[in-house]
Amino acid sequence: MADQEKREITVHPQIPSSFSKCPEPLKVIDTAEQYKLDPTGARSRLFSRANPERAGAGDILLVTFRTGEPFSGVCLSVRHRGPSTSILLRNTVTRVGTEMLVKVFSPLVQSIEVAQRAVKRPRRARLFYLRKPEKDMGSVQKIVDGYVRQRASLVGGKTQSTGGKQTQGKRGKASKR
Amino acid sequence: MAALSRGLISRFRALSILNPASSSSSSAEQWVRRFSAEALLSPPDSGRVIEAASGVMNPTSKRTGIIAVKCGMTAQWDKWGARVPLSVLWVDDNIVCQVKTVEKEGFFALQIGCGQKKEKHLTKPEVGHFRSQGVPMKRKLREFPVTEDALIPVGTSLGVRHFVPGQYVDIQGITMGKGFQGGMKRWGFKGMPASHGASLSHRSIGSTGQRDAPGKVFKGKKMAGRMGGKRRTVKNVFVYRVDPARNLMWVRGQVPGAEGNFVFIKDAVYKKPDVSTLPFPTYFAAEDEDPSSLEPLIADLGEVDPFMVAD
Repeated sequence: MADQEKREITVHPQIPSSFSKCPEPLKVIDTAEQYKLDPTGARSRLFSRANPERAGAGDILLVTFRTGEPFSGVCLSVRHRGPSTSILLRNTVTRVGTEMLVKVFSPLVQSIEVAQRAVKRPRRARLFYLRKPEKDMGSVQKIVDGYVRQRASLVGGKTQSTGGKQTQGKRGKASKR
Repeated sequence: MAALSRGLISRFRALSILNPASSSSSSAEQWVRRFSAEALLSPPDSGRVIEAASGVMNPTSKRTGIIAVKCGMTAQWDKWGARVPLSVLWVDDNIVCQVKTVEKEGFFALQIGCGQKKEKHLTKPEVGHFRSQGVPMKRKLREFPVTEDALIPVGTSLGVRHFVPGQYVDIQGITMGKGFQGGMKRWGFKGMPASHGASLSHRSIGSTGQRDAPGKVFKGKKMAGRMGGKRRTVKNVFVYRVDPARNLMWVRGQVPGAEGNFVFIKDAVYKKPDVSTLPFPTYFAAEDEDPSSLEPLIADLGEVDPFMVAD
């Protein structure tokens, strides 16, 4: 045993790992996706927790889709999940309680506007109690219509361009009623 | 046992049909090793020459698979505005670690290695294997059976461009362990009524057999037991996007296992990809190519809006 030398095992050198290039791929992908969907950052700011003026539960929101179809309602909750952030809106349409989950950054959503802020800041993040018959706010269509009228009068010149769409939307609602 | 007999039979066949004397003396030079700086051991003496060159794929050809690490899931909107659930897979530094041939092992296969591992974390036999092949040490090894024309020399690195966006793949992995579960969760049984006199048996599996004949519970009866932690293959997974700069692959839908699990990706068996579109036997990157400047490749989703077609 004494005359036997300890042999060193020669091994092939490691290639530098590519892990450091992108340690958290999903984070990078989601950030890039959010930037692509919202290049100006306006919509992320509207729901960002860092923004004290953010839209949240209790606010009445008006969502317009690419097809020109609007949906408005009380915001019951905001689900903050990066590019998958969504809001839950509740309204009463043709005397039926209706809820819609809207992905905030979806390319099918054209605009999200705040029609009315919550009168008093709600004590809860998720206002599911509004589903109870005694707490239900009912239709918020009148408030939204008032907001749309007010906006049209303020914008003035813009009324001409968006007027067609608005009247179309109103007509659509009127026929539903 | 089956593998042994298979190897023996084909070895006999190789002895009888192939002429062992035909193996040239210059086979040592022809043995291509792209990653080894020097031949650490003399290559096995066989007449076969495996070249790292593109070939033509036949419908009967079978390419090698690759090993990837599951990074997690996300979702994106495609160009039509449809939401696509995506699993992100990282093809971590895949290298051909061993070529198995009919002459030696009795079958054609490629052993692929993934990731990196230090020598101190491997056993001596494992270190000896990597050393004899002249490749760096790997975290995970996996053998993929291939056809003869799809052999690639040892040391060839396999990237994410082995797959083409728009093709379908089969993805194999070990599902998440769920522990001991009842029949309702494990096999989708209906359970029993909540009321109508049901007592202490709401999630029970119910009857397990007949009466005196056969007087036993048949083997394989679906009952409560360990669920998950098994090797499963998800077939026909759509390759949505391929990012050669980061060696990432986006596939549609779910993939077995938790984040950080190894998964094995192969060409789909049922939804076979078009052989003319695939790189064969694999994609050989140019030597002077800078991978960080490469743009991601996105699957072609066609020109017809699926939402308009429905109307």
